[in-house]
Amino acid sequence: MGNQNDVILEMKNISRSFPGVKALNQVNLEIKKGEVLALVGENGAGKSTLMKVLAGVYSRDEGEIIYQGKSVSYHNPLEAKEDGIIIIFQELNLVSELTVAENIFLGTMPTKRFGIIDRKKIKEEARRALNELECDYDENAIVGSLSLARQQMVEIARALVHRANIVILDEPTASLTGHDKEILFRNIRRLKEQGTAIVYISHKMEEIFEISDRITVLRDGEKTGTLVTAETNRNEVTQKMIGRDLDEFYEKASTKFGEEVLRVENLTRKDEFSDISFSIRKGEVLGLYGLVGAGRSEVAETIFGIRPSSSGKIYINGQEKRILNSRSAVSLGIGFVPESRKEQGLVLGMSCKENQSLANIRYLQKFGFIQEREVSRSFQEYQDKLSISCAGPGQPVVNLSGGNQQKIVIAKWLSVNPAILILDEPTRGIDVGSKAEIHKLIARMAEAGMAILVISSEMPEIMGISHRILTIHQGSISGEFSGEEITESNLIHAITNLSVDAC
Amino acid sequence: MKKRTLALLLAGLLVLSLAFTGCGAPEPDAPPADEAEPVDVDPDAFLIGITQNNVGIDSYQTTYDRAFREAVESRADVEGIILDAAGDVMRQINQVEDLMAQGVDVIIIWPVDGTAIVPAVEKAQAEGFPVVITNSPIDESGYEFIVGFSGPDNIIQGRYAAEMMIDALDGEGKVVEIMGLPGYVTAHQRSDGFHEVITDATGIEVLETQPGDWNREKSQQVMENFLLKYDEIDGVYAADDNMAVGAINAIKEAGRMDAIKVTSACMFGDGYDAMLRGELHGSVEQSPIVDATNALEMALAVARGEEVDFWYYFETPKVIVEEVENFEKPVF
Amino acid sequence: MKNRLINFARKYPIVFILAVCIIFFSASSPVFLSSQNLTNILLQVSIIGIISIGMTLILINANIDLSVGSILAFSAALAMGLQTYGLFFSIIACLAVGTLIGALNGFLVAKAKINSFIVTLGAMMGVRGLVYIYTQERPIVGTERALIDFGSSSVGPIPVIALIFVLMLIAAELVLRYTTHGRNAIAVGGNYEAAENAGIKVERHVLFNFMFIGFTAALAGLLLVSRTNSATAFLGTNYELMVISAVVLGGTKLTGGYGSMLNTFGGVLVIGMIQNGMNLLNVHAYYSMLIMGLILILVVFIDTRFKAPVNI
Repeated sequence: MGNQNDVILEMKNISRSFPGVKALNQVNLEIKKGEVLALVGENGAGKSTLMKVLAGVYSRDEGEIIYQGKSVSYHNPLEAKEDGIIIIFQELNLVSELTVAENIFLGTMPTKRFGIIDRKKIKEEARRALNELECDYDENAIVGSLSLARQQMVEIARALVHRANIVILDEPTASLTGHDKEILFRNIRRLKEQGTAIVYISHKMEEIFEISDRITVLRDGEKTGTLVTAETNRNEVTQKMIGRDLDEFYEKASTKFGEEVLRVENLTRKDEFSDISFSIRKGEVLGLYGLVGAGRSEVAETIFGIRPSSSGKIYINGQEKRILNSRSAVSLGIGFVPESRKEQGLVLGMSCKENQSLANIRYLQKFGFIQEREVSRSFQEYQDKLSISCAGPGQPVVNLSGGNQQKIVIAKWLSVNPAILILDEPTRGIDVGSKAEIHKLIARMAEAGMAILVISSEMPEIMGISHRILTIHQGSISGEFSGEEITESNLIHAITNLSVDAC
Repeated sequence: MKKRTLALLLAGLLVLSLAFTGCGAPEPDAPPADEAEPVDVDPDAFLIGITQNNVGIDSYQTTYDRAFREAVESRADVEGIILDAAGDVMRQINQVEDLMAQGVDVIIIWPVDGTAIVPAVEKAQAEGFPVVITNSPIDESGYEFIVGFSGPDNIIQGRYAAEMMIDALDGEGKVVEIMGLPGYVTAHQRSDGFHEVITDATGIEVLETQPGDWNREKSQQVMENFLLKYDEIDGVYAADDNMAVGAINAIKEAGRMDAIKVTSACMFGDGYDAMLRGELHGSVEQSPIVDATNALEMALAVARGEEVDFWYYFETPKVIVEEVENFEKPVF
Repeated sequence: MKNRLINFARKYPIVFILAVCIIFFSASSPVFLSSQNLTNILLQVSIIGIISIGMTLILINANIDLSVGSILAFSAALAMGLQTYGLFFSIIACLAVGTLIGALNGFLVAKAKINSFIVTLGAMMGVRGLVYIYTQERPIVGTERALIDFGSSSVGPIPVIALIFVLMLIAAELVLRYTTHGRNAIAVGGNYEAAENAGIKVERHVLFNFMFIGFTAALAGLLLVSRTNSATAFLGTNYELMVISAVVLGGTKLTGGYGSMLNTFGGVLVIGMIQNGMNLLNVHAYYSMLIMGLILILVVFIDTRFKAPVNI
């Protein structure tokens, strides 16, 4: 480990405004050689903006950046990269059609004469970087065919190849599960030992305490403090993040269940999952837990009719039903809050009320004309119930925070009053405050008699809100736990029991 | 998902546009209405290939196409490869090559573009394929490479229109001319024929010539301008009935129909109707059926090795307003 | 074996369709496989084919260019009309103007960030307007015999125009496979932001590709009039659709990030074979268009429906 006091980069009094918002206000930040600095804060607190100012994606209105003793100003990420500062964005910056090696060298490909790419060199250096990261997959593999975790490793390999002094990771585990996260952490520690400074942006408290040396907290564009990880606790950090104590983080619905609403028998989809059987009762929250790629989302999408099943039966209220498409699922009383809310859940170009009324619009029209007043009234009703904060029913959803967007997706389903609601990663990329609200909402919906299926890769979340948990491993159910059986070790064992998917 | 849908939509759009480029024409392979059964083909039959201009574009060309197919089917001594260039020069050149590859005995071309086709007929001649041009002559530079032209004599048609004009005006008066699209042989020939004859009538003065581009609306505008410019106009010559009808529309609007005689060099259905109403004084009949059979006859004569005249014209009789009922109304 | 065949057909539907075309047409017409006819096909597809090379790059970038037919017509008219100033000058002017129009398209797409469909739709209409103005709707005839002699010449059995097409295609395939420009093309089309963040000069790249397709359209126009010695206002009408169809038939995606010149060659050949085969079989032009449309839909359908998803 490098000298802890060796400051490699200092950001002084950084301010940056966007139209109508002061995104950063006089923020100071110090990064030391060989440390992992966690940068935390709710969504919109300015974490990503601060790092984008550093990497030259955004310009700064005022302030100074001193790197290795010199004042610097980058105009784009490439300049920063050439200086040894690499930012790995939340959305992966890879071209899925190119190979691993080509992606590692994207934009900086070494060439021979006539602009012909030096393939041998690319492959060799890529291989070396992958070996260093203990990644055993082929450097010639097409990136699009790799799992998200592996894709992320490609980005980190890029940092290695370019001998970075500072690597900024923006929410790197948003799409990773247990094992992949471990590999990532191992590699972060390895980089750290080589003297590389890591800035780790995350929402996830457990991770921050596991990996970081220091924690800098931002709230509403201002720094509220820097804490040494070993000398603080979650409560203190949370308090600095949201400016108050969180009451109860997880809320479980009461355990009064009604009759069975949904039963799935031997549901199979070729190459994705097989023989999935379970049932949910009224008022019950069933958790589906597994690694990314284990088939969780595929099961949900099959029940909702997005993907056809190869075999198996689905019973709704005891009667066998064939669900051919999502429309028939909706008419059978199933609602679905998808994993990627921006792609599958929302029409980004539409306003809040238009999105909210998407599923029940046929009840809000007369002779084909949409009753705008009804739509607005319906939206306001849910806005109050779910405390959605937006400028008004007509505000485009693009500008809302992740938490509010997710609430609108949920409100959309509540308005058709489904008997069964499937939520796939309901709190991904959502800040702590909104997360708790969504958990409460799930509990309230269950108490109101809805049968709920929740998919999550966050263990505390799934443990906190579910009455019963099914684990899924490589497309099959590997365990079922309820009550006392729900423990971390049981779950981990169940989702990895057969073979460990090495990075 | 969204991207895929977009891709599909775009593909669909492409296909639709491709499909619609050739739309709007009657079924080309429709069986002849009252024709005898097709005759079995003689094994020694001549193989005649034709590439037409643009079959779907108007009923003259569609009728020609049907008549040509019927003529081929009804004869035992000929087999036909009947193609359509769909108005594309490049495609016509490709079709000439394809006909050569199949070893046809004679190639008939209805040129899309009378100059652009010249290199192709030059090549055909060099490889020993006799070429007959039908309907519209090619550029003079190509005459040495073809065996001849079958079609209407545009100069005669122009002359007929002039003769009918002189009769209608009793050799006295002021005349304006609306010609076809400049740059195309047919337009120039019909104009030349008209001028040849009209200059003999010393009492008639041609005030001005303007192109109507074979287009009815354009001709109407041209005529409107003439009417504003000249207080005295006694006669209008338009190179075909389509343009004549445009001119008549303008004249009627100006209320000068009684004072002006209109003649044309090629009769269409609308012109026939105008003649029944007494608005068009005279026109010239040109039958697409005769046009087609004439071309086939000439090609067969060439195939049999007979001597043919370079210009193989077919009759295009005058039609004047008093005799219009003796003629059939053109289908185009 | 059967599975491998199916997989192959899924992966390269164009090879499969090409094979079907060859088998069908050679069975129906004895002339089809004659060397004369095969040379004809190659010559006949060259004009469309040369533009398809440029279009492949444009589509890989996830852009589109609808103006190529109009650029072809305008360049062709200039190549004919400017011959009075000398053959060399007319050729240079023809190619330069095509490249310039491409540069204008590229500038609006890359720098002004206007959707390429809109930009080139505008260019398609605008440039066609220029063609009408310049030609006055009358055919312009060339005066220099040398151009037409060149256009009808052959190297051995291969017509020189076809040779130019094939050589350009091979060069383009090499560029696509082995050079930075080729990799960047896929990166820009596959993930624009990632490419930009990786430091690729994305705007310059896109601009270059539009200039290149403008050049190919102008060259196609030049080679076209080297066969006809005459340019009309209607030249190249619908060529953009033929070219895009050929490239899409080859498997290049309108959504970008994937494509190859050899596949485009396959697509171009299929279109040429259908037109040629229909002529040999004495089928009316309407049907050849119908069949081409159906095949295009079929290929895109196979592509979207059966291709194994790349992403997990």
